[in-house]
Amino acid sequence: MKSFIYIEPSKEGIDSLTKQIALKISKIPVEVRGPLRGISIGNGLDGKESQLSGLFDELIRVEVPSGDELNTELISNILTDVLQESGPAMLFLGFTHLGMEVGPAVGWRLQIPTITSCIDFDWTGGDANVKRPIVGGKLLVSFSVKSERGMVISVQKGAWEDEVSCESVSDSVPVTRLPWRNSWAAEKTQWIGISEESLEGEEDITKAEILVSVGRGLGGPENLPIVKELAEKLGGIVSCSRPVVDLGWLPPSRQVGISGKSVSPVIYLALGISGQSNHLAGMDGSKIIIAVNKDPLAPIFNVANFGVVDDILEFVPGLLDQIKQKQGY
Amino acid sequence: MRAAVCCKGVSIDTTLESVHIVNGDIQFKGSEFYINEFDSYALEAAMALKNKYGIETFALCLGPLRVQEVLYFAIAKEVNHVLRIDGDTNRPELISSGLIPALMEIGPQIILVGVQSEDWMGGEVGVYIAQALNMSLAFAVVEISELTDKSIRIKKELGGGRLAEIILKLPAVLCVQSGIEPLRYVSAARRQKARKTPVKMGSRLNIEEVKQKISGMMAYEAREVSVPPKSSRAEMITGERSEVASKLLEIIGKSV
Repeated sequence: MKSFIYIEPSKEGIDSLTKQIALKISKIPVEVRGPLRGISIGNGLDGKESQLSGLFDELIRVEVPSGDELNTELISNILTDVLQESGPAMLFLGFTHLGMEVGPAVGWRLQIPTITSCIDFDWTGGDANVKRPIVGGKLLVSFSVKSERGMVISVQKGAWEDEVSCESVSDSVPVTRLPWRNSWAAEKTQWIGISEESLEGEEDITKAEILVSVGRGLGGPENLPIVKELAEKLGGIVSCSRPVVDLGWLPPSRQVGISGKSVSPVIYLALGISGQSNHLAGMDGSKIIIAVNKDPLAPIFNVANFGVVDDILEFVPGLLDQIKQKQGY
Repeated sequence: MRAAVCCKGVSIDTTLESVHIVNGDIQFKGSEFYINEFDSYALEAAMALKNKYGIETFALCLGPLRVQEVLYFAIAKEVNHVLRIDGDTNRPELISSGLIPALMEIGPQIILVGVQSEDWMGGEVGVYIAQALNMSLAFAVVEISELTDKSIRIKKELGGGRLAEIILKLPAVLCVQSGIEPLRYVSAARRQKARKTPVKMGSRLNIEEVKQKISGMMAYEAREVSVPPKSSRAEMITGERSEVASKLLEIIGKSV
């Protein structure tokens, strides 16, 4: 068996999720997992090879035309070939936008078990035990997965953030360069360009120390003014979960989550946010998470430091009154 | 030109007691199902294409009789044709395999699927359909800007606030992100009228036959469904509202 980890392109070189995956998988005995190989597509890790130390036994660096590093059709073609040519192999990758498209594509092409959004993985040889959330994280499902033909496992952000380094993986990591093959070229899709959202005129939620974040529990845009006032009184900024943006109550620049921004404020005050994993992935770096939700079973309470079971439309006015009293209003 | 929307019925009841493991599969045993929200956005995107380009639209749903409500909703949205494939599974490999024969018979140039389901939350079905039918694929589509008889131009999310603009050759599978189009309101009267429309049935999903055909992918089984353990660090603050508010302000004040 061989084990591969797809290293998503990142400004940091190797992003934190990839590191966590590598640290977790490196703890599986090498006689079970085989050598642990990172796959990097493009030149994103050039000059950053020192980051590989302690994470992988080998790096496979694949040459691709410049600008194609995020082309998912091309990435799927490459990963399929690398795994197929290696024999039975495990592929680990992040449950990100890119991973959600590429992981199942590779799994289908190779006809191997594919488990997405994993939060736990236990494998000592034989069948692997894998856990993933369902119904917004309210429940977990445990799977038994046969490993003989390999498998594809995508990992949720934050699932393995407590992993620490282990000594079984090499310090000095050899790099194998795979030259470009024309057979990998994307034939069905043509990439025009990549754009980032402009923050002109908008506050940057990634820089805030305090975020007052609202979800569907807000009820409607007519309830925004009181939340904005609360944020202002606390010295923070308003942010939100995806449904609030989809409903047009706040602009996309305020969205926290996989599709939006990743934030790491000192205080994340989650008001009426259920805590779906796509949202948690964007705010689990917060120092203190305070959740207010009228549903005592809301998944947000599984990650919060402090929780209040209450209707935010009843609770927030009282909170605001207390602040005004303290501030002498 | 034809567009097919693959919709899933999700159960209103998502308690532990309502989820059963049947032959390594997950089944929700609630009696009331509604359209997966992400698929409702896929449906809305399809209707926008119909209105703009005059495309013939199909809505498909794989599931038992109780999910037919999803198709009545699609009819109320004025989709041209609906089709149900009988079967009860939440495994994305089986769902895709059950939809594929019907899709091949329809022959759409565009297949739209919600980016994930609210219950399984994996996002695999659209990807599997694209692989099986050798179609172009775009995941997390937030905008459809142009359609010709050979290609479709879209924007898709890359995460972290970034978007990629792509032209896909037809036929294509679009895994549609929420918010692509505003969801139009459908009145109760229209939904009631839609219930009088007969729903065409496709070939029943033969689970054992599909398991044989894609046995490599099926080499896993659900063993247990459980409630996540409560985080040991969470402290629930209780008491009178004013006391709770005061405690929260104290926590915030000490931390910043």
